[in-house]
Amino acid sequence: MKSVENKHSSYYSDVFRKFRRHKIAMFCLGIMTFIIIAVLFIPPLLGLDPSKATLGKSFQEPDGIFILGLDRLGRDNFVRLLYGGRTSLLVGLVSTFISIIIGVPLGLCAGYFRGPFEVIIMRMVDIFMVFPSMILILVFVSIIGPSIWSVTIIIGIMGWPNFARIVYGSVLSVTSKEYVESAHAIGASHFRIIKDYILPNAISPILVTTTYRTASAILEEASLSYLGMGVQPPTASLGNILNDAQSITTLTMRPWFWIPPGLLLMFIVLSINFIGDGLRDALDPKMKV
Amino acid sequence: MAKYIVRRIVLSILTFFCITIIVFFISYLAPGSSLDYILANSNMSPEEIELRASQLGLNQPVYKQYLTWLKEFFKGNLGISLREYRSVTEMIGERFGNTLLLTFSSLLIAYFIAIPIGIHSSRKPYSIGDFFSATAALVSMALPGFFIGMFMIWIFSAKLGWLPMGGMYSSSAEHSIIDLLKHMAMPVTCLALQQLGNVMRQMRSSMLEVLSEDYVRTARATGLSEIKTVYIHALRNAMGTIVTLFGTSLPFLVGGAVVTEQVFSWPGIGSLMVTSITTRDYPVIIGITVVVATTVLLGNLLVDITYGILDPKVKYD
Repeated sequence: MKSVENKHSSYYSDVFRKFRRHKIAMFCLGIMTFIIIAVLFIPPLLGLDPSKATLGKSFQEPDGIFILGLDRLGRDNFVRLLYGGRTSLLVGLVSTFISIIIGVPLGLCAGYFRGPFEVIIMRMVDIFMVFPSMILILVFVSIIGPSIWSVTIIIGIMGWPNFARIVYGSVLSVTSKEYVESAHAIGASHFRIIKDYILPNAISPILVTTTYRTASAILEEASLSYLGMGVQPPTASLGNILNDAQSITTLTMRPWFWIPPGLLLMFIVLSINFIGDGLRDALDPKMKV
Repeated sequence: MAKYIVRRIVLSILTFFCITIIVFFISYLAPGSSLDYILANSNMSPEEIELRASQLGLNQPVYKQYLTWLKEFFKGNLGISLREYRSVTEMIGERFGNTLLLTFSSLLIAYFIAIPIGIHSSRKPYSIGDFFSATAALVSMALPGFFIGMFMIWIFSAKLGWLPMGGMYSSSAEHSIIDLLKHMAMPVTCLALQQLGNVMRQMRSSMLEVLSEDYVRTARATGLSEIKTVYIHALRNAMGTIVTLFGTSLPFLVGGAVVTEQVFSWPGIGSLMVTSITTRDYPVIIGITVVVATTVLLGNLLVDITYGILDPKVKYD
């Protein structure tokens, strides 16, 4: 038992060592940590209120007090940027969590029990993967009504096939291995086999998919909010701040208003993608760094 | 082979029915349905409302309404828009070509740039060049389409004044090719930039796989030049990827087109979808969804069949 434990820890320390060598991924991990700390702690520490408006100062340019200027209603852009970042991360993480909760069990069932489970679940995955999710999300949102929670739930539901497919693949690759067959032979329950022998094999691909999926969920939320079908004002989101900049005057004359949220969105998504890339290389036992 | 094609066709038809049923029933359950809309916008007596509802078939059970809708769909009739009182088929027909023009031009450009880069980085994996293209691919996949679009408008229209801000033609009277190309430049670039990463990555990984095959080693061993080995022997076997890429890009392209058309006020079905959703014009929403579904399914069917022909290793079971 002890030797198994040791092997585990050496695998993960190996992963950690490999990840640390991936310089861009490490750099992006630093950026993400900084962004997360900034959006979580700066507003409460400084007592910032995203809906506090300075009257009569619509679209005031950046100055010493308001470093990113004021928006149409005289609200501080910097504060709204921080709250927008919060919204993006929240929607991205919660919706990915929903996708995992739906997708992982379905993928396990399809790969482990095979038969009708496999046919039905994997056909559903095919159908979902083939169809443009943006269109379906728009249809659902138009019916339920746009809000931060409806968007999170719908994006979460639409993301399940990614997890089901990746889990299905990794389950198939181990079910015929001797150690699983011997577990069957000694009479281990399905639950125990899945928990002890099948699921640990699927953890790495699930982790990698989680990062990529979080990044695309954040992009999807931002696009929806930009179209006015996502997070609704007064709640700030990086997408709906840019929705406010659709008028020609704002777009052409006030770049200081809409460039920061766009850049922050890009940095967040890019950093998560790079972290995912580093994680994928580090978790791959075949990769020698 | 015939069996494989038949299976694919049956699967596509099944998918088609699933999507139409889901979309139809969801919009049936929606608040602010067609009948509510008519009621709110008229001062008809209860008898007149009854008559109007039965004319539109709105007092029938859902499944009957669905069957009627399906029958009409196969006749090419998608119903009447609640907002414009026009045939939905006509409205989509006017704009569908514009969306195809936008998406296919951007896909072509993305292919022309990304495929050679993908092949090049597969030849020297983990080299500096490969590192740069992998980084570029990740950047491309992280681009928010609407932000890039706004940025381009700001630079190329507002600052430099080179390109028009949006639309398809400068005036409705005169339709010249040059004018069209000027209007296409930014939206097509915006959409193509977001495609590059995906195409580059997939091309690289499939070429890597092919280059490690025995016949490539044999080709090299016979003294064939590296160029010939890669571009004639290996590339031919990686062609299947380019075909499947087309299938996997379709859903992303459609999603990207909705946002891009909105940014550049391009008169396609994406921007029509957005306006229809804000006005709750359900016949148009259902119409667009079904037309998009049909196009994507047909595209994928075509991909599967072509792939089957190109790659003799595909198992037809």
